[in-house]
Amino acid sequence: MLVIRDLHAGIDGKEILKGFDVEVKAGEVHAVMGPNGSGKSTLAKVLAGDEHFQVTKGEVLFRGNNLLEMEPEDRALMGVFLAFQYPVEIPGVNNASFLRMAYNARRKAAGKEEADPLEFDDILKEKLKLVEMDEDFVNRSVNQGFSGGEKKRNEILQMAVLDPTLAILDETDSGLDIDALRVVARGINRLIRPDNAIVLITHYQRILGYITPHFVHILADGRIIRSGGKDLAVELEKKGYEKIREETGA
Amino acid sequence: MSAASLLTPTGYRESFSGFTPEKAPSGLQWFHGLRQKAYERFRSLGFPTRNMEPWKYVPLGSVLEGAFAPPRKVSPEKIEAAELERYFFSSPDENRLVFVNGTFCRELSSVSGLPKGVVYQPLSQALASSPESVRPYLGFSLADETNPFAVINAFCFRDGVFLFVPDETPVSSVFHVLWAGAGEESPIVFYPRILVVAGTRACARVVVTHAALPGADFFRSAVSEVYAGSGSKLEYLERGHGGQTKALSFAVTRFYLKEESALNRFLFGEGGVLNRNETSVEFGGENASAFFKGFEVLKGRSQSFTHAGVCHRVPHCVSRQFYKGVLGGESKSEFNSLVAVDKGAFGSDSNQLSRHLLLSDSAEGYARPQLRIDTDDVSCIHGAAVGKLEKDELFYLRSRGLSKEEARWVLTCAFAEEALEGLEPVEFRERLRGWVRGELKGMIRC
Repeated sequence: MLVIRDLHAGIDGKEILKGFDVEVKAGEVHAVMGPNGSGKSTLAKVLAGDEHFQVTKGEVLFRGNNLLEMEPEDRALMGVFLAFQYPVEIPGVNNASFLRMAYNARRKAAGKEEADPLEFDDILKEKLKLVEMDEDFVNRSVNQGFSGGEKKRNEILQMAVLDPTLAILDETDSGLDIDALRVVARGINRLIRPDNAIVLITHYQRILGYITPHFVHILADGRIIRSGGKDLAVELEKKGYEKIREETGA
Repeated sequence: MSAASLLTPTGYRESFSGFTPEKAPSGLQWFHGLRQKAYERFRSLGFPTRNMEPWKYVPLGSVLEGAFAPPRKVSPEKIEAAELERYFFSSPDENRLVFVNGTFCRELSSVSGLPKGVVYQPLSQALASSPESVRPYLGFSLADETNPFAVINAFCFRDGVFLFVPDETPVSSVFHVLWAGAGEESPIVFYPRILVVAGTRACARVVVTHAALPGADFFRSAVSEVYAGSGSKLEYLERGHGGQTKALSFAVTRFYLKEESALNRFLFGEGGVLNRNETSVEFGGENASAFFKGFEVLKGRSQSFTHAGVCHRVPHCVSRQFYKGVLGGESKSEFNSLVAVDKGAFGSDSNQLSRHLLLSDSAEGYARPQLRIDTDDVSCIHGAAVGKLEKDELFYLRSRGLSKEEARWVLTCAFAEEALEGLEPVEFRERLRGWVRGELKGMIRC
């Protein structure tokens, strides 16, 4: 589904990703772990098409298409979804209207009929249950005045509504207390299917207690220094990033 | 030379040399005296120049060197009803006074069911039938008037609107004044005038629409004087629609607020070639409040200059100013506001905020919120921002599948929404919102 080869990317002339490789197949959950500054968020933003970041080398194929040549909206319409580490507050834009616009944009791109407000209301109610969110949520402006946990839950609500093929979750666990983490993780687990894939970017192992990855990759200084199964996260938790780096000679 | 022969090949400025104001149409001595006084004031003020701070950015040449004829009487049947209908809000509670090129159109107006004692009629009629009710208020701002165009209006206006709401009278219906400018053979000049008097604890809602009909080519110089009595509540909504016309529009509005009165003012502007809107508020008693909200949408080469002056002369008054503008094309907008808190006006509370959203690289926004404080124990806040759409917000929306255009449209509408939300009457807000959204859609596509 997703093939990343020798990806080099950075911001303002500073290279952050320095040869990132990964292959993600349908039905898989990949955890990308790494210390601060290792390039985790850069990877997420580059995949979503944030123009602040420049790709200097390498390729990214999503279902055989060159993702890097596509506009952010075209990536989204094709099924790529980024759950933001810091979701943006958008005053004056109603959450429900925004979700409906996004939902319909995706429907339209798939050649399906757009949902009218009433139809969408039913869909939204169902998705709200999935992420255990209150209906009041959707009548507020997008993320405005939301707590950290509410913002993250709103990202997962969007994921549920848009039903992406590839979801990149950028530190969705950061800033969440235990209860909120459980809710968010439950929501994510409900969205995992054999025909989609998740790249879970995280700093800590704790979310992996709730979501079981098929693969764990450790990122340091812009490239993967070690890959393994779910046990690698446990090993990492015990040893720490520095120790793993030393062992791999990175 | 008289006001009736203002068209000269040498232009507007020249038409005032060797000029004497014509006798007041009503033949009232005091009224003639008022016009004479205004004329003398104009003689001492003269026309402004761009060296003067309030006129720094205003392309005065287009007015002062322009040649304008006095308007002819336009027959109502020549006006497309649909052209005017779009400015009304089809509410049975709407009392309309319609003027075309400065002349009252009885056929297009409708006033009914007003509470006892309420006067709502053309000034010419009020001056003819009950001049003594007009006399104490007409020209109340003249003594301190520094805007030469406001002074000219005082000795040139032909007609206007007089609204009088007696003490203890709440009026739920809307007083809608429509000043329409229609095309004539050559450019015209006219001088709308409005006088509003709200008595003690009176309540009223006034909507003033300045509309330029297709093909209009005029210079309009309007003056409104609004007197709010003790404990009165006044809503004053103004719309300026210049559209794609050559309209040049200057407007001066003077509010005088007695103690414990509350003014809510909304100002909307779009289109035309040049708009200059000057407002002042004088608090004449404690615990009064003035809330101003403004919004404009400019495109092409439209220019708009919004000037506001609020004078906290007495203690415990509140003023709020919140202006927003969406600027496209090569448009230009200035927000210039001065809040003055005089010595002894303790407990004054003021806030000035302006935001311009630039949709193109060639649009220009200028913001100058200013404060002059001569007393302690006050709360005065001011802020201004001129900028483009936030890149992070655009990316966020696009990452959810909205096209670049859709994302720009959603964010621009959201920017506008903040200025429109809460506006009443609802029909007014919905009409305006519909219009704004349509206009912004067109601008985003450009």
